Amino acid sequence: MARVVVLGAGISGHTAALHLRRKLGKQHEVVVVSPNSTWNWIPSNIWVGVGRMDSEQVTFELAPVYRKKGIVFRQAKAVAIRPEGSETSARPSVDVVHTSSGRQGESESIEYDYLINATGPKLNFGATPGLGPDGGHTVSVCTYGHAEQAARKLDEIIDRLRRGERQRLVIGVGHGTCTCEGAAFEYTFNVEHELREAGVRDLAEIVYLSNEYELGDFGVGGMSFAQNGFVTTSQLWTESLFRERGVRSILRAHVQRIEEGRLFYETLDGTEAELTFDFAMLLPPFRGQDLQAVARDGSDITDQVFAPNGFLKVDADYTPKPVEEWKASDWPSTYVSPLYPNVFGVGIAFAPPHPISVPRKSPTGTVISPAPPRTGMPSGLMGRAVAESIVDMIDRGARTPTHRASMAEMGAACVASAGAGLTKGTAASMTMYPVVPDYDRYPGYGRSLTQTSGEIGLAGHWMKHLLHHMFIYKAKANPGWSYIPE
Amino acid sequence: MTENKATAPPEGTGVTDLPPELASTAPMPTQRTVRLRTNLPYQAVRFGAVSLRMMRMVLKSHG
Ligand SMILES: Cc1cc2nc3c(=O)[nH]c(=O)nc-3n(C[C@H](O)[C@H](O)[C@H](O)COP(=O)(O)OP(=O)(O)OC[C@H]3O[C@@H](n4cnc5c(N)ncnc54)[C@H](O)[C@@H]3O)c2cc1C
Repeated sequence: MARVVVLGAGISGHTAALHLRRKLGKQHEVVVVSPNSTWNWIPSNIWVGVGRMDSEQVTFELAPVYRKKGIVFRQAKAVAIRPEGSETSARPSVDVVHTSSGRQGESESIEYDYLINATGPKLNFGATPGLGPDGGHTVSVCTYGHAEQAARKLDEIIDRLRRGERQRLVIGVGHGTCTCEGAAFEYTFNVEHELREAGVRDLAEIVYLSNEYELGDFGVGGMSFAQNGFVTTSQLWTESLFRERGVRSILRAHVQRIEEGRLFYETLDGTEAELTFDFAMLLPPFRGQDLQAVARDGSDITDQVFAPNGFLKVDADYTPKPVEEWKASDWPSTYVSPLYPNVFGVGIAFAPPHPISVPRKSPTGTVISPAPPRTGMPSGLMGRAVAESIVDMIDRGARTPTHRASMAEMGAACVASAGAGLTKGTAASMTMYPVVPDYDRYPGYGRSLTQTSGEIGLAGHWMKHLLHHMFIYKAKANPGWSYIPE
Repeated sequence: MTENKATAPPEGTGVTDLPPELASTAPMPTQRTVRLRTNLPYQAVRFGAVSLRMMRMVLKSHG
């Protein structure tokens, strides 16, 4: 009997667990460790953040699903991995601390044969003083709880606008090294749409504040599309939307600190400035969860197993190199740890070899450029590939992973909402192939011009709504779930 | 990368402490383009096209 332990029940971990259970015989055990009792379809948190959905519509309880599928669920938080075993047992294990109301604070050691780290991002609000909803001065939409708070705050702003008070809303990222600019973009245009629907747009000033070098970068270095006989860019396309909807932008910015109603930022050219606001939704930078790695003799090997940013090192080429030497092959494909052949890192939890957007620093040395995004579709594909590799390792004795899911060999389909509503909503539907540009295969643009595309319209909104229902249906492991692609 | 030039802030926004607007030279969509974005029959057709494009991408990425 083999035991596979999956840390994290987000998009990548939950996908991995369901496929493992589907393919592995009943004599093997699949254990999921996750601190929350619920699964959250994070992309729809944007709609929770503008009051279009409530948290019940974007979450469901995990325990019944795992019970139905025969997956063991530990509502707990992993704190340390012992990939070489411990002084008392030769079997590798993971230390967890329970978070459910009945077992809160209780420690447990879970032995494993295979481990998947799918713990996603630690929302690092602490990187910028004053950032975040817990003790800071800004709201967030990263969790459904945060998004509900954001919606309440937005309601207050709308009330003030109705009373004739001018309001400035700043939406974007709260640090020079943030990723997930697509989510900030979505929230910006959803808020803009809600203000128009409420009839108060004229008194509101919306400012998009980002670490991107130009609009439309989205942390993937922008995109090029073939359209109407020309090659056009996501920059032009995004700028057009900003102009049309009257959204101002501050780019190439690193937020240094935030006080009540004002924030201080530095831009790539070294300028320091202050911006007052009435409402600010700024995403935090991400880092890996605080997981320690411990050797058999008890010594701390965290810095060997994890990168300095806390993400798990996998089969990527981490040799520092200049942008001109970046290769598609730098990116991992099997997500196996180079040190432990039974440990994997998927989704946001794996350490990328380098950014996708060109890294830049201000004259004072502040890094102001997006970290690489690991969006839903790639995260799901990685989870599935790793699950299938582990099945082959267990069932067929494969010594190395058999399935690949490199971000340089996969595409992504992204639908960025620009306002909700069955007849008035819009969204930008984008496809890009591959996610990580490959200049050897696609000289000039790094991506296929025919398979990289974008368009804005109501169809995109319908698509986003359909995906919301489809992925929640799939995550609940309802009949036929495995036919719905990642 | 396109060159951007400064423009005055939009009327009624009360902007005083912001750097120049960036997206000032980008093309504005025509009224027709904006209308088509929420035109139900047209968007029904686009929904089919977008679904096909996404499905192709998904199939290609699933190997
Ligand atoms: C507001 C927002 C909007 C987004 N919109 C889109 C979109 O439209 N399209 C898209 O493709 N992507 C979108 N994304 C990105 C998408 O959410 C991520 O790509 C995806 O969630 C990554 O999956 P993951 O499994 O790596 O991490 P997550 O989904 O974050 O899952 C991590 C899991 O690990 C658990 N965990 C944390 N710490 C521990 C621990 N110590 N031990 C055990 N478990 C732990 C967490 O509770 C969680 O269950 C958005 C992200 C945000 C924040």
